[in-house]
Amino acid sequence: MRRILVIDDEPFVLDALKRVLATSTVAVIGASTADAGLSAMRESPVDLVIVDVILPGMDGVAAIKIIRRDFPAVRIIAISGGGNFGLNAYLPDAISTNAYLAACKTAGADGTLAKPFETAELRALIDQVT
Amino acid sequence: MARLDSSANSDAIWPGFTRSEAKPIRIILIDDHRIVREGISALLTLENDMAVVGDAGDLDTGIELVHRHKPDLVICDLTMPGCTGTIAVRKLCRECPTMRVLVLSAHDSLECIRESFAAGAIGYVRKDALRVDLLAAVRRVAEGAQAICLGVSDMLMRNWLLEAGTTPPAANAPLEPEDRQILRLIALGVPTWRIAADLRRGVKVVEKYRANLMRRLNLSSTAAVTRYAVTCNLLSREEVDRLVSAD
Repeated sequence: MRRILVIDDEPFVLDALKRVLATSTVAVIGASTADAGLSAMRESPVDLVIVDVILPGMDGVAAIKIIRRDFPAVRIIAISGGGNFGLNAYLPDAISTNAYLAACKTAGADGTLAKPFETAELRALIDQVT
Repeated sequence: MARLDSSANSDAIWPGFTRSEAKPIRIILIDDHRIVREGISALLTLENDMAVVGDAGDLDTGIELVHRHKPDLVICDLTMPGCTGTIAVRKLCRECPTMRVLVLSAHDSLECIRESFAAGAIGYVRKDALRVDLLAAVRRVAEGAQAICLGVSDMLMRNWLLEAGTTPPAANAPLEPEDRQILRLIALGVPTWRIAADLRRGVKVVEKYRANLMRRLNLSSTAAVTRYAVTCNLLSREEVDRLVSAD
């Protein structure tokens, strides 16, 4: 069974990603902070991490650097809405969002996606990076 | 047959012509958010004509870097620890008078923008602007021209319209396509004879049409037509930008 870890402090995003990605062959686990996500990874290995950038405590970029160092085989997708919450507040084209995702790429993310995105876009990116 | 001079022996096509080597715009970033610095740096580094030569999370370190690297441009946030309003811009411009400072901030009040320029900034880009806006601003500012992003430009335009003092006429007045076309041309400052030529009408016909249109819409001057056209979105963003820069 493939395991995907989603790290996002937006409960709605966490629940939605679990709902759309979980299948009979894919288990999705969630964490609302980077620290909780890293602890989960140490307890049980995962194949893919989908991580938000602006998180309470450790941010997504710092988390990606740790994952790259400690779990080099794990694939990473970074997602961001520019530090804003909710569909209407996301700024997918803003400098801030672009900058956050560029920082993730530099830190070692295999793919990036600006919020909001469609399920098909996420699935295509997962196929591309795994 | 024309006689070849001695330069024909050289490898040059145009003797004496050498292309000046394009040097990248050397930039220092000052922002207390590490992710923003890392991200902006990654974005700018993708451009062939830009190079980030240093970044700092606070103003004092930023000033040290500026003295050390003597960059072409500093991209600076406004609010950092121990630093609010336009203190950062003022201090940078005082310490490094030849330095060009482009503000990159989440603040978008007119007061903040005005104070930044008064403090010595040459450009202002909001953090929610598009990436291309920032790149365009960096290139303009590096050439010594003032630059703002589209969001700031929209704010200034709205403010300019409000400060004009006249209440904009009703934007929902019924307009025929030809009304819109002529209003657009008047707003853009196209002379009547040219409008007549473009529409293949007589000058007097256009003059009368124009006068009737302005009377019907209660517009007493070309400036009022321009304001009306902006209010009714008859002009493209680029056209509005051109009008603002010519104003």
